[in-house]
Amino acid sequence: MAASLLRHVGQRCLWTRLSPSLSMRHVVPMGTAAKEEMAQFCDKNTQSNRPMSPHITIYKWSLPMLMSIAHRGTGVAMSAGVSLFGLAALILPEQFPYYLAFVKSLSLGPALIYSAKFALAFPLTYHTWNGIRHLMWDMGKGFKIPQVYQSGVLVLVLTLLSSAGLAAM
Amino acid sequence: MLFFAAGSKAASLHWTSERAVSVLLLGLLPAAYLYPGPAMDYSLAAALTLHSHWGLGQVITDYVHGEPSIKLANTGLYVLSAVTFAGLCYFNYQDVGICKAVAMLWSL
Repeated sequence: MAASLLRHVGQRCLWTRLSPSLSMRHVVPMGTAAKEEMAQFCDKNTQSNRPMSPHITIYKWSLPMLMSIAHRGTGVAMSAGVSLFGLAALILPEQFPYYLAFVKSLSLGPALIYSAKFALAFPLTYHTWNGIRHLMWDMGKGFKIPQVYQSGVLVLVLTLLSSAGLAAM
Repeated sequence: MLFFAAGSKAASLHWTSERAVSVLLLGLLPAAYLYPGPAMDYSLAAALTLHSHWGLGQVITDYVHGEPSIKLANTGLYVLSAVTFAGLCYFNYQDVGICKAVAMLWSL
């Protein structure tokens, strides 16, 4: 957790440039000197040509880390799915029922259909439950390490149950 | 994703908007199941596109380095989001719509 936080901070001097108004809301807006100093810091880092963080391979995997990456992974995957769907609607000649009828004509077995529905429902339920977990963090709740693990396990259990339920619908 | 002037309220507003759309989307999912129809179809099209757009914007902020690459990536993202929204709206207008499509798919 601390490691990934550090990584996140170290990784992006850009971030400091983006969000001063978030972290230092009550501080007088930065003068040029501070901005120059930050720019110099970023330039120095670029010029030093050191390997860029994150060095994913040096960390011991933990549940919160895995779940954080999975949240982004499911999000990007579903974004890709939605975009492909939108693109397909624009490009493909026939309408949705036509392609659905084609899938129906393959007479896939119930196990395969259940698995396919589970595979579709899983990223959605995971991202949804974990998204709620993120919103709780955004409200400043559940930051203690044991709580982070508890909420993580809760999200995983809810994800499995709701995915199994949705796939059975 | 966006470059805000130091001291502006824009970044904070953006952060709040992201959360607002997330919560909205959270409510839209059960609402679309209970009350499917064109209003839900277009609300979903808008909320999904915006949530994806901002989410992918965060990915660009984290992983894309260098001013020219960032500009290119952000331009690409805008094009992708515009095409996605257009495609979803076209689907809602010309085809069965998002709610009906999910219902039909799930009836397989």
